Amino acid sequence: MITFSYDYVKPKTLNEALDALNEDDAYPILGGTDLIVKMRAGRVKPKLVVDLKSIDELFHVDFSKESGLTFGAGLKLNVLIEEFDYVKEYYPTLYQGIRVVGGYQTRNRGTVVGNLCNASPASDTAPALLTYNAELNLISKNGERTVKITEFFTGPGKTVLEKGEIVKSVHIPFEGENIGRYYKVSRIKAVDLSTIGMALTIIDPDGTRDIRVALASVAPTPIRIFKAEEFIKGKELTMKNVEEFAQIIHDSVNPITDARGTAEYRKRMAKILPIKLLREMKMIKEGL
Amino acid sequence: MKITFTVNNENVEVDVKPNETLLDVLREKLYLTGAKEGCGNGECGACTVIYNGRPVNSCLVLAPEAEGAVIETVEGLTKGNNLHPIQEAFLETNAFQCGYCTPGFIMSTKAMLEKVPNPTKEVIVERLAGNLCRCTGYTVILDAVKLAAQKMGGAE
Repeated sequence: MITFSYDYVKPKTLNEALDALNEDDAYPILGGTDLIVKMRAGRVKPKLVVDLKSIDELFHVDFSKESGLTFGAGLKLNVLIEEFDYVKEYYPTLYQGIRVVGGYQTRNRGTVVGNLCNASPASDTAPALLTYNAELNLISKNGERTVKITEFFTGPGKTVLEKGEIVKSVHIPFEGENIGRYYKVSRIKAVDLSTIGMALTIIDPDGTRDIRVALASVAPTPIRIFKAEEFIKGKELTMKNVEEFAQIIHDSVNPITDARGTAEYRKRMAKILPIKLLREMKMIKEGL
Repeated sequence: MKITFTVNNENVEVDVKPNETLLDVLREKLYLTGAKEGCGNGECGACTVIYNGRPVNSCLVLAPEAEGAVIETVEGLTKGNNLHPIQEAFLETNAFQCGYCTPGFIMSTKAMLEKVPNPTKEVIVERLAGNLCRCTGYTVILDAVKLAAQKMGGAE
């Protein structure tokens, strides 16, 4: 039971939904796994909850190597990774990020777009999407716009979304064969927020080797570390170079101390994880 | 507002408020008290029901969202006086102490075995990670799930 009352509507079309969302204190719901928790705690008090699950356009999924992957806001985390094999095959880092969001039940309700709009610094899907240069398609009564994921988050719980605006879909270009890891450090192995999370994606691992790295829980928003990527670009992956790459990541993050870990621990892990992940992917040249 | 959905193969119509959860409706309007409220935040899994074929936390579903849903709760497993093989397996392995988490574990197990009849330990651990047990230490629950898979013809 939620302690305050509100109205609930389930529009059939996107237009009707956008009208409803323009009202004061109207909140969209898809999975509800963040919204209902916040409502139960009294941290969010909608006057109107707008259920978007009857809007067909939000459930569209499309992939080709030419145009990349586009999926609607309504796609549940588990549906995306269990029913569309190309997510695992062509976006392995994202696949791993999705698999560690909450518990299995949460992933059956929650959505990638909800995970992004919640804008937690600890988001498990954002780091992978940052490494894949994802773009978000936003829509409101005023029209549509596309925002790069690097520009979407503005602070803890804050995004560029304006009143009455929603994320309609996510587009991820396919930039070629890639390998990757999402590694989540947490107090318990399952169903916990990350102490630190790192996505490391390597586009064209046997050729040009474009290494991308993004982290959760080390800054007010999930962040990509372009400076480290530029350093390692074109360099041999000797232990010396990899250590310097890791040092730049370490120096670029600005974590806080909270219930899940100290700032010092997080910084230390920010340096250890890239080395661990590159080693797991057998990318580091033998010998010191 | 009135909503209709299917629970344990029966169509029901219930008068609900938008600020009630599916768990509230199941327990307090339909008297199906198998699903429990533990944390109310989607962390413990004690309220797990099977919702359109997938296990979900019923504490994080608003009652009106459930319009048209097909829901299974632990009460739907027993046929007459016969327990479901998963229930038998939990009994035979003593996979519970206080029992508060058990309906949730059983529903997560049922949803898993319907899709993965012979799961590896890794799959079981991943699928049941959203169900917490503070009594058993989980070992006997893993035994119960493996036994249930055997009873249902999945495992060797």
